[in-house]
Amino acid sequence: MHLIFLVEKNERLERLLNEEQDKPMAHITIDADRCKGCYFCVEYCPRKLITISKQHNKQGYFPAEFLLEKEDKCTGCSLCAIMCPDTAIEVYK
Amino acid sequence: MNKVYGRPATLKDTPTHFCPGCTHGIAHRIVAEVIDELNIQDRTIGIPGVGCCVFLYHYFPIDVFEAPHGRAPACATGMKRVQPDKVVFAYQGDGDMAAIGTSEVIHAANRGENITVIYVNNSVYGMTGGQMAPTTLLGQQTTTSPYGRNFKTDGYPIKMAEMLATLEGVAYSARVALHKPKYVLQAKKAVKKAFQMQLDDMGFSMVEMLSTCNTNWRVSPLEAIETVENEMIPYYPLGVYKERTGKDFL
Amino acid sequence: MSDRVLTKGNIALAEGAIQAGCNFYFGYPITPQNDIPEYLALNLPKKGGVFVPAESEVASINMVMGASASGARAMTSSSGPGISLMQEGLSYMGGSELPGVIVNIMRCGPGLGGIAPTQGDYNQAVHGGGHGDYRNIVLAPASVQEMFDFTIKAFELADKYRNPAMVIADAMVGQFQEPCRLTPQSPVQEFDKPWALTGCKGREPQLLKSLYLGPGEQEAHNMDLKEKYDLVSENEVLYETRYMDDADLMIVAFGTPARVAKTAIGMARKEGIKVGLLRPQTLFPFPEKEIGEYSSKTGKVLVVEMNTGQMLRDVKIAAHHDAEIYFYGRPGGGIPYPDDILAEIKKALQ
Repeated sequence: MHLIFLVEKNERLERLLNEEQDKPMAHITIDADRCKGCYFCVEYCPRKLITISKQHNKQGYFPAEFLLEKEDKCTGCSLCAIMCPDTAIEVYK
Repeated sequence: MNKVYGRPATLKDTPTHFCPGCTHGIAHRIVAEVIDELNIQDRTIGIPGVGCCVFLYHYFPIDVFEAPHGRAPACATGMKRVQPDKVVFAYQGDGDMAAIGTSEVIHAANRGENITVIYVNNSVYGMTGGQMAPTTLLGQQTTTSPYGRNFKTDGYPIKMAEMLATLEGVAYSARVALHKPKYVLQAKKAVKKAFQMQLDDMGFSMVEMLSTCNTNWRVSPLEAIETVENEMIPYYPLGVYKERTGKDFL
Repeated sequence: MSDRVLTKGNIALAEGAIQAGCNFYFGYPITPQNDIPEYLALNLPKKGGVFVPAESEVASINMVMGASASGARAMTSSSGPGISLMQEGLSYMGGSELPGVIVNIMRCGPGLGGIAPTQGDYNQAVHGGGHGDYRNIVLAPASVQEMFDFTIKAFELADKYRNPAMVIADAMVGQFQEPCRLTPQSPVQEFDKPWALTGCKGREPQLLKSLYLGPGEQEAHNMDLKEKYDLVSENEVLYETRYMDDADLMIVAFGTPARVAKTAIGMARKEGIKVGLLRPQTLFPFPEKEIGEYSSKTGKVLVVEMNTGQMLRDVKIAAHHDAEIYFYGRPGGGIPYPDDILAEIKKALQ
């Protein structure tokens, strides 16, 4: 189930990268398996666009998860990525 | 869309051994970003101390030398004297620098060795399970101060950034924190300044980074952030304690 | 005009280091070796070298380590108490396979001891004061000339085997003056150091460490080190023999006692006593084979040391199982006179 979720996300990213119109301002990806669940990103996203996944990752942590349905609110401020001790977050603008 | 933030080139894509919420990960990343920005990766040699920092070589694709506990500034001295054209940095924890290696760092600083020291201060000996360190706060409970640090028997926590700033050989001594985004950005500026001091041959540079150790503090990562804000910063004020602007050697 | 000069052991050693291409000295003063850092402070900068007066012996050995890791020939010098402080560094150098030359001009101990000559640091040098399965290569000069020559040899062996090399001499050899040639007998050997940390431009990043946590890694590393030490033992033993062809008693001694023994042997031979000398010049590797062979011929061995019996144990291990081992030791600044040794020779041959 976890695998399907990741594939969905990538397909969406592909579409986002290729579409010209109605592009959201920014987008982040979180490497779920690299995340150790410290939740600094959850705390520091000024728009509260990151939540905690209900599905644990390979290491047993419940990783942080970007709320795709709210991604149009993401400004690419990168505070999440700046605070991630595991460099699990990439920011796209 | 373009990627505007990601892994710096001087940080390997290797999962780290650090605990969840340990700001060593942030410290590593900002040092790597600075090395990228200054374009010095292929002439930089890193010398970690002993502690959680010891695995620096797993994460930085640069030449790395493993020094004995506390001795990194002395090894860095030997290295920099042989290769003054290379960038040599030590990366130490508070056990390494403020306990066993205090003599080595003070004298390297006093001689004005043209090296950079990154000092990660989380107020405990992390790797060995959270024992009291010279940097442990008064009243702080650790595995070897179960009744809380008491100034009568244990002394006061030691302030390295201030102490080193009193030495003439020091070009840059600053204290930053890694627990909130604006502080992380300031920390990166300080690290860049420190490395630039070395590139400009100005003398010894040091950046003390107040860091979390939530595992040994027995709190959650987010609670550890509050600890840095409410307990560490009041005792260890952030700021630049020394910044040499010209080569004003006596 | 001869190219020989009259100089002190410590000075000859320091000049030997310069001629061996040592460009980096890091050290802290301690009696009776201060001539060495003082000579180098004056003369290294003249050759473009670097002299750093370190704040302690702990710092000194770590600076040597850093310089060595950068590919340079680096050295430090001290006496027993300072060498004790260097044991951690020596172990790390052994484990990381780093060359370096460490000089011990031995004073009496234990503890603060005294400043008179002794050989009380044999165990510290040869059987290692540092932790773990490593060995120091140990050279033991007995003359001012050997202080010069063996220092050069120490740099060569250290580089050849990527291992720390010690030159140990009692304070007498450090302080007395003799004529010597201050030029190398043969061209100084150099070795490439592709492993040195010089910045990863144009190559893969490199690492020098002694930490091995993966399963089986540390054991494999220790076995590699052991093979290296076996190679050292096969190839680098140095010793000198005198009058051993017909000897009924073999004296085994190094450093000053060996010099005194030579005089005693001369006196004994005049009286028709057939005694000879085997003088180890390397203490690791130790001339075990030679001691075994000679002791089986003589049947009797007299070990003379300026301590209470340290090389004695290695001689006992190496000697033929039927050989009788005698010991004459003078610790704490006591120096044997020829008459003393002659008396011991006679006692042993009774």
